[in-house]
Amino acid sequence: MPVGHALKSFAWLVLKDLAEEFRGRRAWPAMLLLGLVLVLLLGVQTDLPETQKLQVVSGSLWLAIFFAGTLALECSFVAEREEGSWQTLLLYPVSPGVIFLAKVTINCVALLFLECVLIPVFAVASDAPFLRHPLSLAMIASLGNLGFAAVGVIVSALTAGLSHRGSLLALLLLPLATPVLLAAAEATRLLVLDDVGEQWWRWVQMLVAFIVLFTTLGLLVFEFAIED
Amino acid sequence: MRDHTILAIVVPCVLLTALLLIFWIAPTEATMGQVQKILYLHVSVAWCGLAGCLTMGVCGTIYLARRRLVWDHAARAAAEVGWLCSSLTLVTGSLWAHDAWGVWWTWEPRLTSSFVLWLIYAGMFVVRGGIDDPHRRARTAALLSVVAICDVPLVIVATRWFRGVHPVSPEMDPGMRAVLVTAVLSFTVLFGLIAFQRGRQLDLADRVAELEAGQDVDYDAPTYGA
Repeated sequence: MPVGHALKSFAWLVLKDLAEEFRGRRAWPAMLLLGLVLVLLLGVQTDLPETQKLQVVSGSLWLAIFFAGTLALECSFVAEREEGSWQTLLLYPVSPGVIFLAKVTINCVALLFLECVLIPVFAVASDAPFLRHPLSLAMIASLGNLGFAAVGVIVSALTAGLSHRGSLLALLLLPLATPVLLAAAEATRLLVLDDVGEQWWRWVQMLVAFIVLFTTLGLLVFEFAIED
Repeated sequence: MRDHTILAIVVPCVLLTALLLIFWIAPTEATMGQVQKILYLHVSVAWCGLAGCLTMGVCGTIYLARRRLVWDHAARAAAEVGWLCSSLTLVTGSLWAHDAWGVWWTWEPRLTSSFVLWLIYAGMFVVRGGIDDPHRRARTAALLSVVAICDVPLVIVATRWFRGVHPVSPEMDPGMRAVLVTAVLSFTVLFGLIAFQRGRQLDLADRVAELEAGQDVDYDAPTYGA
């Protein structure tokens, strides 16, 4: 398949999902609201002495992002499944890999939108210096989103047609995405502690390794995941 | 059938030899005393837990390529035995940690990644239980098992990579090392046999269900032990 055609199809698939979200507001508002509720609940728990607080806030933030982001991932294939366009999606003259990358991209955008709200709110609510290294934080957030979305889209495609898809998605996604969440949370913790050294770089490397692993796996197995 | 009978006699003998070696022949460790003997069981079941995950992933991949349910039965059997070994790893590790570190559990990298592996196994069973169509269930489980393999390297490198406190290749008396290797081999054969028999049982149950439903059974399809 020509690269130009694949890129064009990829852009159309991303725009289609974005337009659908703006028209139907299916996932993002619920995701944002759940994220804010979680920030409130977890923020209350971070009312600790400064040294203890800096150790736990990053984990709490990434937990909130994970649970709220699961809502967006759950809705990745809902429109196609419920509105009868699943076959149309499968009949697109593009490789399944392009559909996978488009779904990962749209979920990354959703998670980025979520983080743009949650990180400043959580920074204020917990009085933690999240924005001490803004560029490094943006890099960790982007890498975390990519890894989480890559594994999330595979699991979401698998559970899309099942009756208990919501609970199954969360049940499977949490253990499978643990390496990504752990690396992102630890890298963020070291940023908050102003300890951007060798250990921080190790967590970033682990994050990149899992992104490469999950994305490659996704490109290889997505064809089987969307079979009907 | 004869091969299975021989195996059923040989495996308990090998296992009994390993247990005798562990409790009577292996030297007693100076610091931890008798508690150190947990190590022989712990390392063996931990290896079998990881091997179960790898086998599950390989069988899942072959199912995706060939679409024969016999490979799904093999993957399910490997998953069940792997989950059992993974559970035993956590229990024996916890017993060892209580004596060595003074706590039942700590969020050490290898312990955490082993617990994640246990959760992945458990999640797979929930998914399998939620899908009725055998081929859809097999496809979903196969894909998940391929993704689950990603946790295996993490369990292996966790302690070295993140400088955890879990022992990695500790200095060991040659006698202890020989007993450890024997124990690992014995438990591998034992759990391999259990997985094989479980896979065979699943395969036969599937064929009986097909016959009861009045479906045509593909007698040329590959089966266990054939």
